[in-house]
Amino acid sequence: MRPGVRLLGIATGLLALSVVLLVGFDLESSVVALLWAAVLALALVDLVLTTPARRLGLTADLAPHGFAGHEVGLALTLTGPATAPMALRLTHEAGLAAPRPDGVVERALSLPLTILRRGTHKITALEAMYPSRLGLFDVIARWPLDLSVTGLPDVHPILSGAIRTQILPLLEGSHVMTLRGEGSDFHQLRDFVPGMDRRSIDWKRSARMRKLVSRETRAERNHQIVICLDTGHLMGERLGSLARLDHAIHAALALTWAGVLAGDVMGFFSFGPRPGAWLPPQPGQKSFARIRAHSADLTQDDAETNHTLGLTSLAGQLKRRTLVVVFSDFSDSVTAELLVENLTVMRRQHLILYVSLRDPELDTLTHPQAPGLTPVAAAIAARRLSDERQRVLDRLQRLGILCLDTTPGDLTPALISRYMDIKAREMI
Amino acid sequence: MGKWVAGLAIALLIGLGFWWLGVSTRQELRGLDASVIGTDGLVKVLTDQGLKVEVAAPGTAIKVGDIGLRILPLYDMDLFDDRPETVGDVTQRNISAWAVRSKRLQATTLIVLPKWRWAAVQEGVAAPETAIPLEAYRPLFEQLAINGVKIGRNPASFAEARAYGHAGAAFMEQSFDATDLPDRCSAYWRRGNWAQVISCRGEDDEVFYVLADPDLLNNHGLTLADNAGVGAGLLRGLLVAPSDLVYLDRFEADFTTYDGGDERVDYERTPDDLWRFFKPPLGEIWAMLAILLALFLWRGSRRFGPVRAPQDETPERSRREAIATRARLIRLTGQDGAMVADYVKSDLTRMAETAFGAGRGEVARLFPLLARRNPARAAEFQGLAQELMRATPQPAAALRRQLDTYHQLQRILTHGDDA
Repeated sequence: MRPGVRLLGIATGLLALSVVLLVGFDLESSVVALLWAAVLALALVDLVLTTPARRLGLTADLAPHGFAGHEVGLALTLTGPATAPMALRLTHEAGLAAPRPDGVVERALSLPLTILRRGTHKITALEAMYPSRLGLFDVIARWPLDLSVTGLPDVHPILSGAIRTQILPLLEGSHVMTLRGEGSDFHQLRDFVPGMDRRSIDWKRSARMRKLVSRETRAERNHQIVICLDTGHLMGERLGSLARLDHAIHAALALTWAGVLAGDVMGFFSFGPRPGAWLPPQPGQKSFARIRAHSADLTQDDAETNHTLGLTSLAGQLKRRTLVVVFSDFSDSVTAELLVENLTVMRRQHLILYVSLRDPELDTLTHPQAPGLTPVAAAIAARRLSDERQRVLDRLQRLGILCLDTTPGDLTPALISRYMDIKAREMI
Repeated sequence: MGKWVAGLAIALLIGLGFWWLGVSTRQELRGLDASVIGTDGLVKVLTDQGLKVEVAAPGTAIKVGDIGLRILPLYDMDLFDDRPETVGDVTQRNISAWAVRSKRLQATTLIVLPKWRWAAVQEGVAAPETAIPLEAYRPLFEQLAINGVKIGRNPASFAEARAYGHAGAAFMEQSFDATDLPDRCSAYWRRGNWAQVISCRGEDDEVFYVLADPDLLNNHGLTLADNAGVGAGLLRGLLVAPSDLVYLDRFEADFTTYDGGDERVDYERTPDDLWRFFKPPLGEIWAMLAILLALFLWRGSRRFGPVRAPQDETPERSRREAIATRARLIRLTGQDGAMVADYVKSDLTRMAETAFGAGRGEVARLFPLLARRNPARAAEFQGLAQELMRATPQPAAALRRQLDTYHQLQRILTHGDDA
């Protein structure tokens, strides 16, 4: 409990009044003392009428796991006599973001906690504050908590079937594709029906069977795909609620699942200032479980990425032509030089897809909404950064490296779409 | 043990630093005074002659009332210019006009004029070339409030004369023209038409003396003939009593103290004086203040909610800061017109890229496209854009107004009239 703003205001006002009465009107001290005694009595009455904090109880419940970037609900139930609307504050570790609600009247509520990082995050206390009956005091109740939630890489698109739906055209039996010439693997013969592409008719077999049959093909399977994840300090940049690294891990896991569904062999490599873990490509769903388990423990490094060391080390591990999906970032065209150089070397033997995340806030800055010349100056500065970044990506594309530069929200669908495109064009 | 050694080393370093600072400062201060045009020798000469001498130095504190005569050798030809970079050949030590004046007001002062350039000290050659040109004295006299005084030099290499019972000699003797002195000044020590020392009256009616030739009192001059005796005689004459203190004041800083002993009034302090603070109504006011303070402290001692962690140095923050800093620098250049022109150019390129595809952002093709949507507005938009791209210097308010119109037209052309 502590004195409220109202009590402090009354006391300050009374002090000013007392000084005026004592000095200006030369009143007796007893008159002033009576005024102060009245305030003291009022405060005592207020204390008697107010529900003390010790009579309130709390039960709290929290799901043990949650996906990074998503919310988990902290279920709170308050027991005890009714009180005035209260403010709630949660003490927790830095990997969580909790709301700071004021004026809560419900006795049972769910506080949405956003998981900002992968790993275990503890919640240690909850404090509630409500005003006393007359508003002269703030009553503060504190309950120690021993709750924790583990932030896992976000596999929500996988669990919800979104990836499966998106990858459907590549799956068995879905031979109709928008691009000519994709799917070189022969799958089966089917009776030709009007509406089918006439070029799919197998004339030799049609002649033998004395009816029109068409060839059904499907995309080639068993390609080797390696996800290459940069864990350097630039990947710690927070875009929205999550860091670049977390966005990259989520997209990488979605791609892994898509690759598993499409029958490809998935591998994983991480690098920062030094080469990190190397998980050799493996077929089947086991590879997904392996990559997910490993990426859940990945931490961002505070040092700058050594692209030369990382990519050279990866190139030494690859024995056959591979689709290498590089998740990385650069701060300017000068620091991107080594990245470009090493990707160019890898490009001679492998297919490279360079994935970078665009900062939506930077895009917002380039289109000033507020009037005035300072936002225009900021827009020019932001556009220069943006243009410089675009120049590097253009250069990569000219060198034959596929680039995907998108916002965090669009990353997963765009990456899967690009993967399907690569498969359909048989670029690997 | 390690801590002791580290502490000892730090103390040693600090001590060494202070010692070096003291030594270097002393050397810097003494360099000029120990030279041939300095006055270090004067102290010894006057002491030997039985005069009481004190030298102004940091750490000394001479009462103004004790000073009988202040000797103020000047090494500055421009008292209004205090810049350290002016110290060199002609001005060897800076002193400001107000410092000279305040010293003059404190006690009877003998100002010793400069005569030699620093080149004379360095080369060790006293020649007409190493003397300060006579025409350079006119501004100095104005700054000393003795304008109208004329100074000249004896063309004879050595002039010998007898004064104060001693034979003096000076090389290129420097003297005032005693026949043409202003009303405020009079010759104090005259030889024919020339005066070695003049007595003048300042703006505040204070009397001070000016010695024309510093060679009478400086290290070089004191060794010539019996200049030491002449100098001592001169100073003895200027003192009211022979036992008065001669104060050699060579620096701008004032190291004297003001004797205000008579102003001190002692009051008797008793415990009752303290109790007066608690007598009505002050006692009640203190009590109420104490209650209020206790309430504030009580409130402050109980925190609600966790302490918020400070924002750490994240890469995204550094990028925002970089953009904000660059924006501030762009604004600081004051080239708002060029900035807006740059902005409009890049904006039109982006519009063109949106319309025709990446890498095909030809602005020239954009305006016909916009004209097909709304010819009148497109023409207005094109005119305004071209006007802004000319980067004509305009007031910020006008630019802002034009930019608002630009954005409004852009919205109409992009999203229709309802935008």
